Amino acid sequence: MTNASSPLTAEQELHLIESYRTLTHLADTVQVPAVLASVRTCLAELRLALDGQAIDFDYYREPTRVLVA
Amino acid sequence: MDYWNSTAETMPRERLESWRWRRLSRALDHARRSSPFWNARIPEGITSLADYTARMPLLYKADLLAAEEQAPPYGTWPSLDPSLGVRHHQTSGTSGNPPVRTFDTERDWVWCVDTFCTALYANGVRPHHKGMVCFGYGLLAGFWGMHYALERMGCTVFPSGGLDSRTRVRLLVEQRIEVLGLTPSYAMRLIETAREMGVDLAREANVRIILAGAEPRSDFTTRTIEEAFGARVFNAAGTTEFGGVFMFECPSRRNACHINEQSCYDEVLHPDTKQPVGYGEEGVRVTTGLSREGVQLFRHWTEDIVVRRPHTECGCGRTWDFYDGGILRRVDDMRKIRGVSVTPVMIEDVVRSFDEVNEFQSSIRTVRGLDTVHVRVDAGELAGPAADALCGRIAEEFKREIGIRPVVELAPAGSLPRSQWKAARLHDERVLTPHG
Repeated sequence: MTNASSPLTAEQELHLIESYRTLTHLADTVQVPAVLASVRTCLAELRLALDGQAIDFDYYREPTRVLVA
Repeated sequence: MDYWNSTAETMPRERLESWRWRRLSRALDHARRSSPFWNARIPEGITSLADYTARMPLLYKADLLAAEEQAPPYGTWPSLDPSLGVRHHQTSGTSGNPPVRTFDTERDWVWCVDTFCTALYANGVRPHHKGMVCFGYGLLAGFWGMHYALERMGCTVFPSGGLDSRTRVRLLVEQRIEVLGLTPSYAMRLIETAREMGVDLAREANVRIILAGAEPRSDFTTRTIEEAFGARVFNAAGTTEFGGVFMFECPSRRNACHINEQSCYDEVLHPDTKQPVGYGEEGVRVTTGLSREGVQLFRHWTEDIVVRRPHTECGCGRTWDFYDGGILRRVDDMRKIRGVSVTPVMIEDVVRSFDEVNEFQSSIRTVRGLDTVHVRVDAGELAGPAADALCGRIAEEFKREIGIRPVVELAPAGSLPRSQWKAARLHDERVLTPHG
């Protein structure tokens, strides 16, 4: 899950991954358009941050979820 | 040395290879699962990068266009529902082919912008700089990513899409803009416009960093732009098919264009045998995208001629290899004229070495059965014996540098096309014979 070359601490990595999971869940469930727009934007940004630090996570979304997130 | 993302840019090579294989592996899984086009092309059970390059077929533009034709407008190659796209872009179609159409999801667009940030940060752009982007803000992907990258980095961006050249020059001076994004051709146009306005850009404007991309340029053109603006010119390139910037010039070594190896897996292959060539040898760039989710690209035969060199020869600390001189030319740019190989950049290098030349066009024609190069130059108001002398000197220099004596003639001031985007200055008008 973590990468020794990342300048992030293990705790910071964990927070980022937890945030990504939380946002993914919100993107699946939130109904308020204005909130969903913010969540989608945050999710895209966070995905980039995680990937840029070589952290392994669910990079591609499941085809069944594509229409909501 | 500062990096936009030190983790990715300085990752030890062995770890980088391992990381890229993991990324490629999941990209292949996503493509196979979600795209009919890729599902039919990706071989079963690829086990490594080496296995991938050995078994994955090359992708040619014709393949993409055929896929587009099957299911317009995007074809069968997207890996996600195009309704998830937040942007549409397409190629210009200037080669006579239909355009390649792509879309970016929100996630793809964030990644694309980040590839511009990587380049701009390397070039010295920092928060609070002012930047101006000179292009049409149309369907071409072009410098759209640079606009958003400047915002993302905390710069103030001046979107000059609808402005004419004079207004842009005025804006550069009035706003003390430090960063400029444009094509080399359009940089030459701005220089010409500033001269007409009596503006000395190096003295009166404040441009420090110029990202000049989207077309090959001669060293002479680069030097001319740098001297006129008093700024450093950096090369960079991206494509609509790839969806972001795949290489950017390093400030540590002139002409060293680092490959963004976080985002792509590039090979350099011999144009005929399609076998890998070594460091320092010319070949065709074949690229694989590792980041995009909506429109993916595997082993795309780009037709870009490049020379790859190891990262250790740069010395900036990045572990990303580089293309020496960036994109040297396109496969189909080279013309044989009476046995001599000639490219548009070679002609540009000669003609631009004459300060009097504002713009030029060249063509290859068949005259009494003989291939002949014709060059038309716009030298402003120059006329009479001085103009004849200039044409003679250009012809002499052309003969000395390239080995062919061209026909050089003067064009009326302002009559030759000026380009904001990819300029076409060499036209092959030869009459083809059955044996030709």
